Amino acid sequence: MITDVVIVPGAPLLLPEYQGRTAAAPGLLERCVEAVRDAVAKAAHVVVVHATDREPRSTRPALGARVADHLLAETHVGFSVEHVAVAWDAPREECVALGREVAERADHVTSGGAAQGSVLAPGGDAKARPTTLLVVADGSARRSEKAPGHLDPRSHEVDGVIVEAIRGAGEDGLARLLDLDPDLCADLLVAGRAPLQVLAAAVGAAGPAAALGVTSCEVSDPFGVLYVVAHLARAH
Amino acid sequence: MSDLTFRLGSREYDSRARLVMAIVNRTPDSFYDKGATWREGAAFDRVRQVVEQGADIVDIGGIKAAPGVEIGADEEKERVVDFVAAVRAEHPDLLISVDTWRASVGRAVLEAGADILNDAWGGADPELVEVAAEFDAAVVCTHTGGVTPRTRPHRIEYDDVVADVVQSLVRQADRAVSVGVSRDRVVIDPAHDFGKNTWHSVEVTRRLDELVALGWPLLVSLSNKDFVGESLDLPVGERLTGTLAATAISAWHGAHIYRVHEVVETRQVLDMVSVLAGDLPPARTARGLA
Repeated sequence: MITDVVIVPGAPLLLPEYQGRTAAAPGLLERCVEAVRDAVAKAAHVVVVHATDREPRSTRPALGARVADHLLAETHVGFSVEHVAVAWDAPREECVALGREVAERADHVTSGGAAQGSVLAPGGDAKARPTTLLVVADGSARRSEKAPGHLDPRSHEVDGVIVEAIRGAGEDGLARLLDLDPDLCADLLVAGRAPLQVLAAAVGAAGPAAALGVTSCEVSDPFGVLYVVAHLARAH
Repeated sequence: MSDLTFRLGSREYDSRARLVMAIVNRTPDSFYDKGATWREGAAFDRVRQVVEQGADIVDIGGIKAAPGVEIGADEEKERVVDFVAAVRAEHPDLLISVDTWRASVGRAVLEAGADILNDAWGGADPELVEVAAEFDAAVVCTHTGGVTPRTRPHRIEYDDVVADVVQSLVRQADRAVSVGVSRDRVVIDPAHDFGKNTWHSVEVTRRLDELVALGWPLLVSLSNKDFVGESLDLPVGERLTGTLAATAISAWHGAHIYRVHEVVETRQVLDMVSVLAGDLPPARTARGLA
């Protein structure tokens, strides 16, 4: 069962291979690590939800997956991990279907960590164990004239929807993420639209009993890109 | 990367080191600053400034290199010894070098707290390295072509200037070790302009990798010198850009210590070369990574 959700940016500047002598965004990595550490503290299983790269030019794994793996490695906690990649431009329906699948599998995670019926853990009666969703998702990269995609004034309204949805998670706010328009988000370089819609569908599929409350939520845009670092936890 | 390591004071460095040695003149007549730090207060201000600017070493000198009024050992000591002690008291961790060829001055400044003897006149006083050995200090061996201290080169020719530099520096370095200076505290310096015309200094710069390959830490003293001025036909005061170009080339060849007047600009050039060489990460990277 999904007990925790942690949302982090997918910025490559969080990766060790891109670190300069001083941090480009001071404190960002530390906040991400702290949020992830809190969110996985009791997890038996972690599902990383990330988008494919929009402009892949290498054979390396997607940036989102690498950022997630780096943050998880910093926690030094034992749990199993699976990666769910969603196409950066996946239609909303595809995100919803993927989210429901994630929720269903989370409800069947055994004490061994992997979902029942998967090749990792075929069958068994084990009780479902706590699962954390680690969602790698950014808002618009067009929030200022110096932003990677230059300024698009529409970015702030769309980012506002994302932030309010996350902050309103306790009042079923995440469902509003499903209203994000894929084409508009593509224009605004919202790299996290598809993973956020997978998240919304996964949490929604779990029903009211699995409602999540906001434990922490920090928002910043040091480079004209919206970064959200948030930890949502199931109410006990 | 070679396996070179060397020690200055209590610090240990490897082949990737690119250290800034800031010149602090206790002279009324040096060619570049023309006595700007002759007064003790001004000299202290200069030390504080270069430390703030990121200098790794200060090189304190009491006699200008060019010909001029003779300065005896006692007067040289008066200019530098108490000053070294005061700098040591105010900056306990700063590496202090003293530019002198005299063993008696060397002994006095090492007793006052200096770490390095910069023998800018190529072993003119053979006892200097023995003093360095006695104090476990570092020593800089320089190539001057055997000229008398404080003389200008006049119609000097070499069959192969780099070969002469190599032969002289290896001989001096080996002798320093033989009298007890730690192998990892011996620095070599081809001494641009000293015993050299501009053609010589330019060739030494172009072939600096041959000196790096000798396996000793390499110091270069390029700052605002005549070989820069003659290369660009510019007077003292307008040679910074040329100095920095020579600095970049020397850094790319692998020199380790840079004796300079301008610390900020040199530090930037050296850091840039270190980044380009892959020896230092960029300071801060966000372009394309946000």
